[in-house]
Amino acid sequence: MLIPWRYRKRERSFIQSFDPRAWLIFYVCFLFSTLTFWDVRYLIPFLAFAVFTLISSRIQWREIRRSFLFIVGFVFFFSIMTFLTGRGGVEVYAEEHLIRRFEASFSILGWTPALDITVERIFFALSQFTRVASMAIMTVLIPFSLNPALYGVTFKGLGLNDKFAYAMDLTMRFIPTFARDFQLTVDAQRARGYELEHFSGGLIEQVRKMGPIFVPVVIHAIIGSEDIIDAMDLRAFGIGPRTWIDVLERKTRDRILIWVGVILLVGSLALGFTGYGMFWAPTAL
Amino acid sequence: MAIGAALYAVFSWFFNATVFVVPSLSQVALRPAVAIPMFFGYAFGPVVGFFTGIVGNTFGDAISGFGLSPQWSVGNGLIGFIAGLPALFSDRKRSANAVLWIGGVLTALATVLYFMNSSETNMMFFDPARDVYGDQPIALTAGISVLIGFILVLAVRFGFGKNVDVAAAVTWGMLGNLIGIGYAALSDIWINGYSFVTAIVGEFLPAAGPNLIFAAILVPLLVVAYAAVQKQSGR
Repeated sequence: MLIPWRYRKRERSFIQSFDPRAWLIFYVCFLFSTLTFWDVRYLIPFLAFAVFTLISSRIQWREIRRSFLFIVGFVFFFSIMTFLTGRGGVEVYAEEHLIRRFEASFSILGWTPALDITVERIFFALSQFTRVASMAIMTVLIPFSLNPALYGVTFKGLGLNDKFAYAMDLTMRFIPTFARDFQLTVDAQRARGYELEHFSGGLIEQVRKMGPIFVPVVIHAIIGSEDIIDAMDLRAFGIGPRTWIDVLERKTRDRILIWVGVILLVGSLALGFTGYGMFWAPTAL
Repeated sequence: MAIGAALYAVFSWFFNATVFVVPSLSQVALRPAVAIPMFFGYAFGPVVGFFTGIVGNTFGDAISGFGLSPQWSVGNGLIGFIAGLPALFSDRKRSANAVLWIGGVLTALATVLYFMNSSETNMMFFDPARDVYGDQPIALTAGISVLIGFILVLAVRFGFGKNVDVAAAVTWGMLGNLIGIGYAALSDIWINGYSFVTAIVGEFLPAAGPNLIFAAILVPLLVVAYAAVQKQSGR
């Protein structure tokens, strides 16, 4: 079975025009900057930038549809739930200004279901949606845009030591191998009458039945790793600094992106600490 | 490190409703892959456990196509990290007992919070075939799943009383799970604006509970199998 890596090289993609290290630094700065604010007026530019990045990423809709609908749909649903129940926002605002109250015409044990539409609830739900959607859109793009083959050298470039950077590289390489081993094990167990799709019994029994898949795959991988350890030892891994086949080059545009990210983060934190960007709802309503 | 992370990514991909749709039992979604960082943490130490959890979860999310959830990846890393901590204690049996007490207190607090807020929605339960997107009130099974898991861990701890390896792996895996998933759920208060109750009852309980059940059943199987391999290879 083939592992479907989501990454493709895309021509004229905005996100892919940058060095992956620069983009990751910018992404982290963007994430923490977004988290600083609850004011929808401050958050809208973040959402606008996230949407711009999504559109300019050249990712086809059919590629991203499933994950995009799932994540944004969930964020939308959660914001609606927050609006309907009023939960979540109560820690942010103290009083509510009622616009309209809808009351059911029936009562259940003396309790009449009612929905209060208040200015604060509307704006808290809007802020929540804008904030989480901005982060979700920027995050969902990463697996589609950063080449997994460069994860190791990227993290090495971000200051991780050789051991961890190489482990990331190896992880990426092992995934297809272990996926194949997993499939072989499943097929072998099926030949013995094992039915993964038709688990029966209670919760504990179902978990126990996963043992015949788990144990052989994990133990086989650990035993197989001995050869890799020997090969690495023979090549004196860990004695001196490593070199990498792929070399990343940081251009002027990458440096600009990093600086934009850092300035954005410092500016956002400064605004946050001085009391700007807290939850806001228009008083005129 | 790389092997654990790759295995965790592959198992996550297979079981995250992408290849095999493992049935959910009364809102308790089965995510067996979590046994991997627990086992690797215990067998190879906290650094390997942390790497297995954080990188494995990141790669698993990447190949599943659901984007990344950095806070949940860190939470998974913490599971592996804490599962590897018994290596620091000379008396594993005593440390496991201390961990059981801490786990018991955390389980009791979370379960009490569930009974006080049993109308919360289960944010971790999705069933697109039935139009369920984390919007169903949490079921009793999901609400008390941490308690069920803890009882199973307790049973393994005393059932394998003489096998310190199994007892320590399971109890420390339990603590790692409670703290790691707790961290991820609580971070959503800051990131997604959830209330404390939503984070604990809607996210922590339905995620951490089933994980404890896996810790209690799959981790001992892996520990016993690995001990047999070590014996055979002499390493």
